[in-house]
Amino acid sequence: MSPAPQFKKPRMSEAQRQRELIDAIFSPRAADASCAGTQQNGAQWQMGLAAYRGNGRAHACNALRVQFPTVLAMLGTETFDALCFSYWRTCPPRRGDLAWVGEELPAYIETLETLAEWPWLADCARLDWAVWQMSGAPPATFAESDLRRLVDGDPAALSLKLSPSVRRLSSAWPIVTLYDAHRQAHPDWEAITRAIAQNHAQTAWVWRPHEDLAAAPSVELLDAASDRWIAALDAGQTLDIALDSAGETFDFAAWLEQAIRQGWLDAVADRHAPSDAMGNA
Amino acid sequence: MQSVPHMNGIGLRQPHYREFRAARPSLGFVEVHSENFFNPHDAAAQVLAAVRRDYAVSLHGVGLALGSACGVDDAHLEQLAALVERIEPVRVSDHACFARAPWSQRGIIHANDLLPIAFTHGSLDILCSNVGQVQERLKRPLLLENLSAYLDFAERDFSEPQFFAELGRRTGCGFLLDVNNLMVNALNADEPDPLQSVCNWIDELADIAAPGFVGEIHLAGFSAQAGLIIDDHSSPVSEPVWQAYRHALKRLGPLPTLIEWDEHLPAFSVLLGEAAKAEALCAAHRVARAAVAGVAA
Repeated sequence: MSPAPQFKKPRMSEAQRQRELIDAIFSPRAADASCAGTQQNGAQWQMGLAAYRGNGRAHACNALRVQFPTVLAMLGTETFDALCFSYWRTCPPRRGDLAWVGEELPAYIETLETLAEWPWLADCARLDWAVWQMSGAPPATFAESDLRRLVDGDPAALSLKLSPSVRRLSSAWPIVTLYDAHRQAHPDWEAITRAIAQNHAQTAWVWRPHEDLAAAPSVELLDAASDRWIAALDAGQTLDIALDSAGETFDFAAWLEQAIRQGWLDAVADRHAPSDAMGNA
Repeated sequence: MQSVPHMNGIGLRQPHYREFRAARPSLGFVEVHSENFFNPHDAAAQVLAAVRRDYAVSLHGVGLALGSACGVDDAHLEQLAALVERIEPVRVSDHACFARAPWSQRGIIHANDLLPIAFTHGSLDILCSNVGQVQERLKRPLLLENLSAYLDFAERDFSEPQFFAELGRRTGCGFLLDVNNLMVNALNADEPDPLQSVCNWIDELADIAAPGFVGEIHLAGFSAQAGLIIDDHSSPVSEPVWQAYRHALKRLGPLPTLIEWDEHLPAFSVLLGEAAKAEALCAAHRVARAAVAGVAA
């Protein structure tokens, strides 16, 4: 009787090998060494896998601690690191630049039942992320020609384009009060509890001074008139409509002086100018 | 007597920025992680621009994931290309690793880590293709660094030095020899004589690679954690790594050498002390080589 033919196990493709190792690292189920074709098995395999999981978690945690200081202060280091690990495993990074690792954390927090009793946390994370993004946003490009256009133009045809280094963020929660409180070395917990209990909706205005790239972004509370004004600008409304939205109490001259000084504006668009009209179409 | 210019450098990390600018130490170059400086509008970009006015800068990436079968991220490459244009670095390097792969319903993810590649023909083809694409975009050769790997693959067609020598032949890229990574791998493989194993690795590469293939050396510290030696750059360069470094200098000649220290950063003077030690070893080898050349002439 002839011996049974010996079949050599077909080689694994590199793509398959890499998919299986990635799956072993990120998947919550117990991983099997044989699937990724590594030399190590048993305890050696588990140790190697743990080293990569530990590295990934440490890289993500380190970056997220910088990107979400308010959430870190609210949760404390241990709970925050546990959140980071579960986020990293559930929403693995899409980019090789850790500056973006926190992009989906606010939305992820909203999905967690364990944090459902802290419904303000996701919006606090959104504010942290806005501050992080503004710290690296391009400066405003507002020029003297923009100012001339603003002085000479028709308010019904002009619109103000906000700089990429400013961000308006609305919340049903007192996010600015919470942000400020957690910046303190010794937070006033009674004031924080009171702010949450009062459940005041707030809109944050986040901006970075255009002449100092090293400066940390500012976070301010927008009053109701300024909030309506910025919302109208964000929506691309013309100056006359935006001013109507803001209401009579809004001081446009004072706002404009500050906007130019702090670099909140990028450009003035004129719908009557052919190139701007196309841009705004 | 004219002083010999310094060859060696340090990895510049954010907590040391202020001291670095105040001390203005004599160094051959400064190395930074490319990804930390992708954004041209943040404070770090200003710091790097200021450093570049006084020092040669080597850009060392951790995110290209050049061994990934799904290819490199075009957006990442464009950001690196823009940084290279701004900084005009003396060298650009990254790792011979993969990190990008499709996962579950999420599409292509990036592990933000340096995951091991197999030393196979298939893996070499992927690496050559990706390195070729990057070099074409950057219009300059890359240096590829050997990994510390906590898992490795059973299938292999090459020894690691053979794999890298072949990569250099096919793409024209250079090599960044991380001596600490070799030591970490030797220790994790329970080699009976880890130092000898590292020296053998260096000998094999020196014997088969094209002259000038190795363009830079990295030295760092490691730590023992949960049954493994981890390349965490958290401590001084260990004595066995210094010994292996001496061997590398003997085989490869003096090369720009970097002290990497990323975790538990020491006082800036300690980091400079490590760089000075590497500088002294390089200088000794330069002198020895000159003497031998003089005798031969």
